[in-house]
Amino acid sequence: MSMINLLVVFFMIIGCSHNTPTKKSLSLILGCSIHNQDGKIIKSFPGTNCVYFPDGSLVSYNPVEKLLQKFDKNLSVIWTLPLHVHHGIHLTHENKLLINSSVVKENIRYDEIFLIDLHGRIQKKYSFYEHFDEIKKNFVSGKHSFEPYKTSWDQNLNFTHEYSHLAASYEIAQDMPGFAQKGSILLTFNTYGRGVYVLSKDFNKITHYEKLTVGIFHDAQSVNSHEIVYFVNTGRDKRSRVEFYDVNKNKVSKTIDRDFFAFFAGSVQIVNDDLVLVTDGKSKHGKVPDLQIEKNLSLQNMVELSKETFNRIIYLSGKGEVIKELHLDFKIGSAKLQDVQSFLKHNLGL
Amino acid sequence: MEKLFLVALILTSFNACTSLKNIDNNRLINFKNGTVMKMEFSDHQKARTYAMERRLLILRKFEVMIEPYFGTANAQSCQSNLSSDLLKSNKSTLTALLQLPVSGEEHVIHDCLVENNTHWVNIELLVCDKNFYDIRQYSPIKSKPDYKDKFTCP
Repeated sequence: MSMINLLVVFFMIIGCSHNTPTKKSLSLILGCSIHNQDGKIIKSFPGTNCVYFPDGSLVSYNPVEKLLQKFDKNLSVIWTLPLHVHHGIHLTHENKLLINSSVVKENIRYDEIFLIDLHGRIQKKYSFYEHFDEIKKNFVSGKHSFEPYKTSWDQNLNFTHEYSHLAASYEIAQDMPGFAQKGSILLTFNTYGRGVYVLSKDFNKITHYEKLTVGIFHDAQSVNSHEIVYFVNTGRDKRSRVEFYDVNKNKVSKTIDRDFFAFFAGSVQIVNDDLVLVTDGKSKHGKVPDLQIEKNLSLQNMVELSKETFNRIIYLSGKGEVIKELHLDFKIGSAKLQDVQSFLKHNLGL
Repeated sequence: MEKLFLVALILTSFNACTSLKNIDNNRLINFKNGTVMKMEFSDHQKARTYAMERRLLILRKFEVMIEPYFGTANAQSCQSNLSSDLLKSNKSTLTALLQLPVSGEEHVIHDCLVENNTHWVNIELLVCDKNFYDIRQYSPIKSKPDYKDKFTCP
């Protein structure tokens, strides 16, 4: 074999082993672990929710002690804030932390949303407990009964019931005329008054409520000046799907339906025009649970099925065609692609 | 010539995967199949605090790893996969030893179950005056290494 042939073979091998559907600089972020685009783990940190910064520092939530902490690049603690955190932490365009938290009153959990700067100082707060009457009057008045929902999904927080179940908070990146101002917060709101809420930029009030005709849903984000996108969970009649919703026309404008499956979690990310990332669940044995069972769905067998499912990450083209699937051996609610090269370069690791 | 090229190629790839972090202390550079990290602090107390914080962070990571298995038979086997001791401490030195399973080429501390990992790691956190060392030795998951401290301060 000539040298040239050898080089050709070599570069073919290199090419084959990097079958990534998007820019190499993007890594998969699964809470506090960082993976390459093929799912191989690169780094992992203590906590369930992490945010990574280019200088190698990170913010992490420790669920056992209910502490939000910032670490420097050598993993020394810079600050600690006692706070319950759930369903992810996101950064705003001003580099502030947008956090879903909770307050428990008489065994009932209520959601709270915090805006915290990178020095660990609370800048703004909205409490569903403090605005309970307003929410009840304006957004769930049609309900015959308005009783707290029995649940205790977080073993680290002592509660038996909840009124609200906030599943995601994202800053709205651009003005959405008639719906939301740039910089306000889009809330994915399950339980009573299921739909998306818009929290004003100053965190003083809910300015808009859009009821969605879906069951449980997750991860609502603004896409452009008139659309939001979210992941709809598996229900009695249908498997999970991704929906784009036009807030001007008040209807679903596009659906991506590719046999997704997740009862209680799931996420979506519009990476760019050519790439959509979806996280759902699949059994550890590689099978999607049988849809037949859904004919007799009860909360109990939903919970049991959910325990059996582990994560699947699906890369889709902008048109919704499946490019690639990854199956993970562990559970996590949401995977997102993010450029953390500078973080990886500077952080010492554990 | 072609053979030489292939050998060079293989060696280059191998080196990229197994490169060790050099440290100043010659006594530790020849440490086989492991990594050594050294950090110098302005005083001994800071080095000691950093070592204890790092130990706690690893323990906490392990604690969170067990969480998905709470209430299952796996939780107990997870607990037994962690060994952790504070071995020696006096005015100018401190030694802490940890042993746990890690995963993949990057040796990531990620899951507490042996079956989900590829290696064991012995971590020795050593403080010598103002210097902190994190010394790691890896072994394939099928051959659990001895659990004891191996290094002393110069």
